[in-house]
Amino acid sequence: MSAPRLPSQTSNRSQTSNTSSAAAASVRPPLKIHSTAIVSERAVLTGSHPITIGERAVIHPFAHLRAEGGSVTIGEYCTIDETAVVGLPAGEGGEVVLEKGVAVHSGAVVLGSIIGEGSEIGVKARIGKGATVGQYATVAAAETVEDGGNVGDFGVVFGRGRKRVDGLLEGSEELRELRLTSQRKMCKALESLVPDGGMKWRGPPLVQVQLELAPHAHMNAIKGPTL
Amino acid sequence: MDLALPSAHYACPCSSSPSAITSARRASHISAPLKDDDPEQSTFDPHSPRSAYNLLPLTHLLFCDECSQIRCPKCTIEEVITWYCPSCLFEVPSGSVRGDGNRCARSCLDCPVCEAPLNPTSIGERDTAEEYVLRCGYCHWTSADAGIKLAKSTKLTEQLAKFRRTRVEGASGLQHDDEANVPRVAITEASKPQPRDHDDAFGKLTTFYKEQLSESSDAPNPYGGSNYNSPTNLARIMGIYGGLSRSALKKSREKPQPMREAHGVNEGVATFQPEEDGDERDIVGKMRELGWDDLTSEQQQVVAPVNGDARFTSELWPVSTRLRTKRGKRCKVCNQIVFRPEAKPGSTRTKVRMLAHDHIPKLALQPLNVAARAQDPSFIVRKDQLYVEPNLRPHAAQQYVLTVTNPLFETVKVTLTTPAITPGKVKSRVTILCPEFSIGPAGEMWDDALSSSTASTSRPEDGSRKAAMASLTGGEDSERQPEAGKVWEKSRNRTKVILEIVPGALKEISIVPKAEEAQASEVLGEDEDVLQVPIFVRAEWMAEVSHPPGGKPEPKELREIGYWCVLGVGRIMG
Ligand SMILES: [Zn+2]
Ligand SMILES: [Zn+2]
Ligand SMILES: [Zn+2]
Ligand SMILES: [Zn+2]
Repeated sequence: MSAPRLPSQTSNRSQTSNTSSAAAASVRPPLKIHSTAIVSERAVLTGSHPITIGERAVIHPFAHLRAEGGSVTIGEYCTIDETAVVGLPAGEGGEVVLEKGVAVHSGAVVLGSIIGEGSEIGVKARIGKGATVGQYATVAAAETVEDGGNVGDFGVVFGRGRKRVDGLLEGSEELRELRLTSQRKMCKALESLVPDGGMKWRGPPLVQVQLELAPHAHMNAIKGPTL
Repeated sequence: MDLALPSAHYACPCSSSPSAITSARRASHISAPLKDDDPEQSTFDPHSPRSAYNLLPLTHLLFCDECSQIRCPKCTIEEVITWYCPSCLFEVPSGSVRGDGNRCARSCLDCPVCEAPLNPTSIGERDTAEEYVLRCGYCHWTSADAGIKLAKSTKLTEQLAKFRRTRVEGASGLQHDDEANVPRVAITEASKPQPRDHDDAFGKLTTFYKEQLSESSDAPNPYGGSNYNSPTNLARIMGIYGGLSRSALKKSREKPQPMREAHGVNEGVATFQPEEDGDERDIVGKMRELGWDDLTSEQQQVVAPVNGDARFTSELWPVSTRLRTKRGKRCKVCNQIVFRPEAKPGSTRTKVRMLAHDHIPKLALQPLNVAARAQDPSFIVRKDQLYVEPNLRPHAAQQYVLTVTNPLFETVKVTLTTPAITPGKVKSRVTILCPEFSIGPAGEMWDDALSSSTASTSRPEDGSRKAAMASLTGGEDSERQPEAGKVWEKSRNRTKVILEIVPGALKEISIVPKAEEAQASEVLGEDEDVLQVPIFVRAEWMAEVSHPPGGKPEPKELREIGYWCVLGVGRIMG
């Protein structure tokens, strides 16, 4: 929160936003980010539809929230890892909603409409367009849920499309709570590891010229933790 | 044989004479003289159907220093160095491997659904006692799915065995003791709904047959000590010669009790019992009800005997982790160790590693003309990067640089021989401009990099810009003309010579019309349009003889090695 550092920060930021992606630099999607959420400066947020990020969610560097085809909603305590993509590309219609406590691992692609509470999408897994994943479900690494497909509550997709139901989670409220708790702990731990993008996401849409003219005008817009 | 051209493949000596190995073994003498496989006597034909199995890249070959020969996977034998559990890395003594059923006897368990390791997970409610289940981190199977909950997170195997015993005994109603001498029918009826326990059955079978064996060997043999060990044979012979009375003969026939086969649950055999309690029908009904995912796959059943009878995934039992082995390799001819890993399961190091790469001169072919130089297939890293095969025009002579690299620490004298006309249906002409030369010794790893600029004898070392440019672009090569009998380039442990190749035509043009038979024989088979040059490499060097420390150093000894190398040049255009 040091005023003298701000001008240099802003100039840095405008540079990175220029280089990260052409779309990101020109148009930033309408954002609604909770003050306790962490969105890395290096995360990629594209599209023109709204993106909502809930309480204490963590968006890793190079994670891609793609609101090109429709809005993207990330629930509380969700984690989106590196190179994961959430949201539909331009030309496709439909919103994507991640309920609370969803972990999307590195390289996963989530195009499906709803991912239920406490679910886990494995490394390089793919949730097809319009597919739904129930609560506390697990899609193992490199597995695919086809377009319009459905994974039920407590479902497990593994071993090239084999499916089963996690009976233990289904029968125990306590274990489900445990799973959410561990996801919360994960978010807590990431808080100190992933620096938040601060002004890049939280101020009004960045326009380079505007910032250079009046760098202090946006001080009030900074909420929550910043660099 | 893969065809990323230009290529170099090496022929293992076991290919040229499969009998050589057996004869050498019989003689149990190693140094078979090289003169036997004289290149002049038999030429290696890379197009013959056999050679597809014999030609291997250098990286696939080992070397036996006793026989002084290349050894391919076919002429080495594997031996198990150690058995270990991949999960806990415990080295299992070879004596107990069989007893444990090739499985880890400690607390390593695998998921019966997907074979990933299982971990004990606490499911204890806050106010009740701790309870554990075994949980698979991949498919989320838990032992609770099979109704197994454990009291502690240690000694899992023991707990499981106890759990299973109580379950089996509970179901069979504890009639083990009183059914001991009941007639067979009664046994089967009484023990009907009993789920079989594999370990238990196996134990019973073993004891039964052990008893049978000891009984039959203890049985007094009336003709003990004679050569006629089989009583029936002996009885027949005695009958012929009338040595015994009829009654005595009858008695002798009865005496040695024939070995009985096991029958009944008590002796460890469970047979199929049709139509009882509609049990099978229940199963079929259940199968109809449940989905495909609830039935066990064949794989899941055969992966462990404990799951052999499991029909539904709910019946699957945790599987002990299967052991792995570390294996060494020995030469088939002289039994010399050519590869041996370190026995410790955690270590990836090797004790003995006799790679052909470190023991025989290596050959590599490149077109002399820079423009014609094909892209090296080993540099293609991206999938979309197309590999363009070098194509050859028939009857157009082309010069190639053959680089021979010496991995040995002695100066090696190399003689290359090749048939003037390549074997196969397409006749190409090959000339090695300098077939005899020497290669300097290999040094330490960094010697090569440090001395490369001074060791080169062919390049002019005037330090001029032109020379620098030439070395960068290779433009200097195009100015020089290859000469017969002269080495093209020589650096420390590498010598380059020139090969002149005139590719033959795929179809020979002849004025005289040929008979149909001859035409049919001219039809080319697969890959016969690929120009392959067999070269026999013979290397000679003076090797130091190892002597005991402190002893008098002995004079150096002449060593030699010969092998066929096949160079793939390119595809001839039709
Ligand atoms: Zn061989
Ligand atoms: Zn183990
Ligand atoms: Zn599993
Ligand atoms: Zn040998």
